[in-house]
Amino acid sequence: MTYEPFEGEKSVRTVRLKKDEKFFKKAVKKLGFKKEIDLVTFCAAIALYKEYKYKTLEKKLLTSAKKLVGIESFDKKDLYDLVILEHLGFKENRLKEFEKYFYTGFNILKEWFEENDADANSEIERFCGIWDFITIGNYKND
Amino acid sequence: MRFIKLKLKNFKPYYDRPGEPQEIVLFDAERKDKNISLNIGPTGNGKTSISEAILWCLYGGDSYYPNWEELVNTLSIEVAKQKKENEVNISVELVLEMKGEHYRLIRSGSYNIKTGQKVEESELSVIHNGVPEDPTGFIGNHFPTLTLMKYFVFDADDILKKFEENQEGTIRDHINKFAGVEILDELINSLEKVMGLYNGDIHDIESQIHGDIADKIKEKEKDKEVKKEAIRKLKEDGQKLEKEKKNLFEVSPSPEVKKFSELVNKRDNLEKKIVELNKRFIESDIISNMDLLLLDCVVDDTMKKLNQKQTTKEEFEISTTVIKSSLEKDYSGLFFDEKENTHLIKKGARIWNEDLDDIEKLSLESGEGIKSLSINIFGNYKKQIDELNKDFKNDKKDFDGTMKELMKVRNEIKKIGDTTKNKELKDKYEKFRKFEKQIVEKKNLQEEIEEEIKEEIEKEIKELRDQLERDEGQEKEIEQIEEKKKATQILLDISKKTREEFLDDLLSYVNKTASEFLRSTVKDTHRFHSIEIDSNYKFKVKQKNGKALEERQINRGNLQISMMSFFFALSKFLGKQIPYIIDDPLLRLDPGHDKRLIEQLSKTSDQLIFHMIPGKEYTTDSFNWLKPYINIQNWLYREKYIGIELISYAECKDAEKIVEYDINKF
Repeated sequence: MTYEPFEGEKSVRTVRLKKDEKFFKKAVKKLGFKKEIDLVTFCAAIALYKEYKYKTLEKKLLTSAKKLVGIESFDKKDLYDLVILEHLGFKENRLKEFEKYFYTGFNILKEWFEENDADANSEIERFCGIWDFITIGNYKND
Repeated sequence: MRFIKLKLKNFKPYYDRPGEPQEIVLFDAERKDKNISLNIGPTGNGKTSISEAILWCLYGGDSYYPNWEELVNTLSIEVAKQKKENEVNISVELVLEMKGEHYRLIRSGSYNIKTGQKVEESELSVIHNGVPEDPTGFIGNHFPTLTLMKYFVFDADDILKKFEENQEGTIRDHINKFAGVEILDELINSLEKVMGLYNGDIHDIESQIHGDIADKIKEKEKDKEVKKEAIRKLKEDGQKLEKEKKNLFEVSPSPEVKKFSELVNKRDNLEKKIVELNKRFIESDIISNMDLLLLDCVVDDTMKKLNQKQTTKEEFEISTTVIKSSLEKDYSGLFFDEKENTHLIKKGARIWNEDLDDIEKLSLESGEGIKSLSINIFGNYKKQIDELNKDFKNDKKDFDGTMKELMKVRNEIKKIGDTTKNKELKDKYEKFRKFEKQIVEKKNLQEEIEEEIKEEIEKEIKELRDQLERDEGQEKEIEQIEEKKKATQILLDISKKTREEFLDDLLSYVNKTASEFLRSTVKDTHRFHSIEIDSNYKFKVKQKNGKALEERQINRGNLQISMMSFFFALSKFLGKQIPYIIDDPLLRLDPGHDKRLIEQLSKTSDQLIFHMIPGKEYTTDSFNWLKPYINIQNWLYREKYIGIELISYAECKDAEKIVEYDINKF
């Protein structure tokens, strides 16, 4: 039995809507990610964490999407695929499922940015804020 | 370095009278403990011509004298005409001494009577112990450029007049000359022009096929350059505002303002700490693996599930094969440790001494079953997560602690600033807030433009370029130009950076040296304690408590001393011991100030050559206080010759006695 991450899918997709795309680029820059795929995995992890920790997550379907990177550049593909396979128990359409988690996390992140980014001046400040926002549920800036 | 003597032949008013060489002694070796040489004479007697002769000898005429012909003594031309000669020769010989060694510097030139123009000007000859030396190397090693030499050879009256007319502009000119900013600006302009030419070349190649697209690209490139210039300007403005903001609370007599200033400093330090924390954070691996930290609980849960998951028949078989083959080849049996980990025991290993070094962990990595693969992958990530978790928690703890303190200080600053009744503090706080607001606005605008360049203009240019179909030859040609552009851009960036950094270094040196000069010159060192020129070329005289004096608080005399301190500090920046040759050194200075300034300058220089007007600067009084420093004094005469022309010559006088104003000699 041989194993192929994400059932041999060739590429990961990301947001296409103009406003989403603008925020995507902004977030990559402001969070200091060197690669766009890092933001994708970060968003997916946000959603996976929320679901595991609080048991409530309204998943958003990535309806309008475009190709982001070839699957070969997705370094953590094994991990995310196995999380969906072994932890969530999806045997098929695992990349689609991953994209749902990404888009759900993406919207949570957007929520934080809308509320708090104007006050944040550095990458560490943003990550510490997002960390508290996700894990505790609020962002303290004073 | 000392200028010992000057021999002049038909240079300006110094006519070469047959049998009477024009020699001006500038330093008497018999009185070498005294370092001021005086050349005394009314206006028009050839004082300034001595300075000009030295500059011409050192640097030549082309760069200094646009009308070279004016260097030629008019009388010598008349005499040559009468004698029906074709040419007049001029020359200047300067003898100087450096570290006990004498050097002869000679430059000559010839003038055509008929054409009224220069025939030729010789290269400088430098002769040391009868042997010629490389003149370019000599000048390059011991003298600055002609522009900067003018900080050693100048007219004090003129310098002070310019300061008084336009303080800020004059300071800017001086600083820029010294910092080489003018030269760097020229270089930057030239490099930018070269970049423009390269872009033009690319455009020309592209126009050969797609004129309209190429034009659009050119337009976009131009737009990009305009925006880049705007960014540079915003950055420069931001830096200026930062400096001004920093200077606001630097000093104050009021304890309340001082306390407030401490708070602002504390805030700055905390902000600096956050910048450092962020730098460390960015450089670590945490950012690109932040997802793993969130996935920690999911990974734990998945591993638990995997351990409870039934092993498939295939996985069981693979595991059995691994164990079996290992046991047969290298291992003697199995061992279970306290944590129930399974280990293989190497053949010959002694297990009873509890030394587990020889025992290797059982690995199922060679198995292809998804369960064993998953255990392996999750296991590896778990290790990474644990390490990252530790790092992130430490960083977050540091950050949260610093941020909390910073918020407290920021709130305190705001509270005091908003409620204070102290007018000085209120004013400064308002300015402080204004600066902060402007800095943020400029930074945001800068980011916006950067974003626009990257996200819109560059993309549009790329899209347009993609539409161009070029052949292989054109591609190669453009590639070569792009390479040249890259190299030019590097030079351009270095030049821009050097300009900024060198200016900072220069200002800091000049402020320090000028302040030392000022303190040793003025009487009231408490009130006139230091000089500061900021990056906006604002000239400030500060008291000992650091507070800047207002313009109305500085009288003319002290302002002149401050300006001259700045001027001398500039020349000292070059670190060269070149004699100062100063026209009218005392004409504009207040009595008392002049004495202290000259005393101080004399202490820090090898030689001072003063050109003074008798009766105005050179008086019994000034002679009396100058006397201890006077090495030599020359009386500069001028007289009519063949009835129409004026000629000058110098006569060496007793340095111990005041030279009488001899009207009959005129």
